[in-house]
Amino acid sequence: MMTINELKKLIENNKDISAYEIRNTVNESYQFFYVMEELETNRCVNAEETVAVVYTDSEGQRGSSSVVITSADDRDTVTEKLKAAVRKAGQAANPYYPLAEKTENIHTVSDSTCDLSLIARNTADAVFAAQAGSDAQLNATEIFADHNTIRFLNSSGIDHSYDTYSVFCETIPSYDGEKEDVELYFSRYADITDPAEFTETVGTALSNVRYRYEALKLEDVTVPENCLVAVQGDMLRNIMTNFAQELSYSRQYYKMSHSKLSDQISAVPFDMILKGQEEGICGSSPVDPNGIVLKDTKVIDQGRASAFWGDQRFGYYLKEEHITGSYPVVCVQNYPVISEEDLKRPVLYLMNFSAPQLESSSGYFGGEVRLGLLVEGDKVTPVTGFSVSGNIYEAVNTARFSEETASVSAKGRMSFKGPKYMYFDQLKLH
Amino acid sequence: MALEKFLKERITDAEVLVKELRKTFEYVSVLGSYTRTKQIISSTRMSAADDIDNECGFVIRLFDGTHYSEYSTDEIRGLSPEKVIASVKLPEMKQPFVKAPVLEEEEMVKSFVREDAHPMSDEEIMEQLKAIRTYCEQKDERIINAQAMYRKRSVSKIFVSGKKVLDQHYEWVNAMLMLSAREGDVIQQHYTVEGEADSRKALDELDQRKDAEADLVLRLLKATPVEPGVYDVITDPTISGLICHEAFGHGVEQDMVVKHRAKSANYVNKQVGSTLLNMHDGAGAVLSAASYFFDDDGVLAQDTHIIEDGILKRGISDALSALELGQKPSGNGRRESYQRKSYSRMTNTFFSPGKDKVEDMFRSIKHGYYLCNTNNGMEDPKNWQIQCTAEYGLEIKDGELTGKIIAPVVISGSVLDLLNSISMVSDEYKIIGSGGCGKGHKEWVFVSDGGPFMKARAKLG
Repeated sequence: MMTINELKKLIENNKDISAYEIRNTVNESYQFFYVMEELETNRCVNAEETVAVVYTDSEGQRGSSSVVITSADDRDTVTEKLKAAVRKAGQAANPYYPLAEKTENIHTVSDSTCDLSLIARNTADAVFAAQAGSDAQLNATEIFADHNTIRFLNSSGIDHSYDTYSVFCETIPSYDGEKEDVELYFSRYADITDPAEFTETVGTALSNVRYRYEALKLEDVTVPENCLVAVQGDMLRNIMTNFAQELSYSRQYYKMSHSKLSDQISAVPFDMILKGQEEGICGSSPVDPNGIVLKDTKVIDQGRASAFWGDQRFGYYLKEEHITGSYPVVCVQNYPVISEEDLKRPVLYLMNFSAPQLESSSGYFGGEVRLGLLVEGDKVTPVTGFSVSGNIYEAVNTARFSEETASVSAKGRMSFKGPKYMYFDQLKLH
Repeated sequence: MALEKFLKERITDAEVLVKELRKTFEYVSVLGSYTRTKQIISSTRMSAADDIDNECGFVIRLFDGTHYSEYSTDEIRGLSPEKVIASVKLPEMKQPFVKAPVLEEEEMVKSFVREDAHPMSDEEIMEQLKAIRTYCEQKDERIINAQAMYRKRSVSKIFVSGKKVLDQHYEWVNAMLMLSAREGDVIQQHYTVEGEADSRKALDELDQRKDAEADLVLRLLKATPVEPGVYDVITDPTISGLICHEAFGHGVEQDMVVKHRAKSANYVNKQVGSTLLNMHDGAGAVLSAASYFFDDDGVLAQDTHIIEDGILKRGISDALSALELGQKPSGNGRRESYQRKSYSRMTNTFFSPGKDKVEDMFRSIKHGYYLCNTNNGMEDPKNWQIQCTAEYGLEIKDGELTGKIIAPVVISGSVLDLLNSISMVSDEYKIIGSGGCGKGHKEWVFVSDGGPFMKARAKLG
């Protein structure tokens, strides 16, 4: 693979290129794939990818085109690719915007390397340890231990290099009994420091699949009229990241947002802070994809929109004085905790959706629920085979939150840290 | 353009590596993949012309008599067998191995090529995209964003093992129109997509539909939520395809059978739906988005007739799952990229046409909805629940469309209830040559699906 410095020279020798960005990612990974508790396949990945974005300027317009450099490319093919990219960039001219400027360069690549095969093995052991004492089983378990080393540079002097270690586990808790066998889906994306946390979270998933086995159909359960509905996990992450996205430069620029600055987004007061890095969140990053060093930004202050955020290009188009960059983490805090009195009401906790849905344009959210737990005092009734729906822009106005907190790390999407549960008075169950 | 020169030059390297590694391993294969995707966008506020999702690399698959190992790397030239062996070395493990047998193959040397029937220059493409999106923008000021997009995937692959040397090059084109409309605080989005092995045809078809699609996004501004309940419905080919994909496509992936995750294993040769239902999957079944010549396990493309007159007959498999089940592989072993594992995956999945006229189907509805435009879905192969989302639905009363529009519409419930409720199947059908499919929540591959118009009874919410 061509080195970054060779690529940089080739770009800088092309006089038609006005500016550039280069992102180089080295991906090392060790993976296990199981059938029940038996190992079927192990995999090792050692791969590198470089993407160059070249910019051309003409008559106040800026065009751009990205080029992927692979192992198949030598000096001649890269030169040809860059020429083609210049031509394409001329076709794709947009209003001018500058690249992110250098503030400080981040260099945090670890000096020592970890043995990914041992990380994967230890994670697998922690996952399977959850089965001890449970009559439910794990199936189709997949473990990925990853180490990504990223270097990002641009023609404005930014040159960051950093690395991340992470573990991803996907497994299918299943329960076989005299009735129909059942299963649920579980995945967790985490850092590599504490594999024992997998034992705890997978253990909860094994308990939940036992509940699904015992679950009644919604039509066979009397849900009290005063029942609250509580969402958690990925659905709550979806809801909160959508409120964050409503205030993004790009959604504002495209006129696709329902909210303006100072709007009361929610009658229920809560603060939302966007961060680059947060303890306990995997997928954190010190810089955004355009190289902007990320500093915390409060975008919602007690339910009111207090700031926009987003990437260099759309921030510039909106004439933002301070362009924040694109954040990977949403944190929610200073929210109204549900009262003891309300918690005495029946609560239907939505534990597993088949695929949580949230449509940002209409506000529709819901989906098919694979496991709900109807909690009435000490009585817990598992419920399955029903759907829930509502409009998040309306429902948020009467929501309350749990005191207990949780985090949901998401690969390639915004992660969330905040209350574990969000309670609603009125959602349609059907 | 035929097979990428780089891969062609690596066939000999792959043969040498296979020969060397076979001194240690019972089975060795090398898959080389070089994928290039060109994307051109013209939209109201932004234009772009980029290379996206490009990849070039190799997977070396090994079997040592106990389990399978794989090594994914950028380059095999100069790669020593010792490096491969060291890379896949296992640490001491607590868990036992699956007792998998060794993959067996037939001798085969073949080359395949399918190129874009009418390639176009970037300039021509951009010009046509710009004309389409400008037309939509000017149609109504409530259309706040129009985005016309062209995407061409060019795939080259080689597969080399002890008995096989295969290579293929194929191309597929998608043209898409995404429209956003706004009236006050009401915002709606609508998209449509064409897929062809022909750039000019894909763009021309999109061009012909621009007016109707612009009208539709404006109508969506008046959409209301559906009153949850059970209704008679007519599904358009996109929704029929989505149901086909989610209801039974995932459910017959044979790696799910190996893991005892597929309820379908207990239903082979049993009635699983209306006798009007016939379902196929295969890279060789039709020419569409997932029409390759051989899969990522080096198995030739086929046409699998999964459901025959409502009876489940057979599933779709990757080479390893087929081996473990004692079946002949169906050519459905697919990887998201060379960095990922191969699984049993769908390709072009569809219900076959029936005999009913579409107008008779509408006439038969007293009160219900015509469900249109696939959005997304989720499988449940073990418990046969289903969730499919349609972008919108149109109310039907006494056989006529009333003009009322609902959006979005989530279909949920039991797979068997839904498939058994199918009472009419149209004599016309369409395969939608664009789609992405995940295995659970990851491992994305390109697929197509489709089918006829179908009348069913469904729970909507």
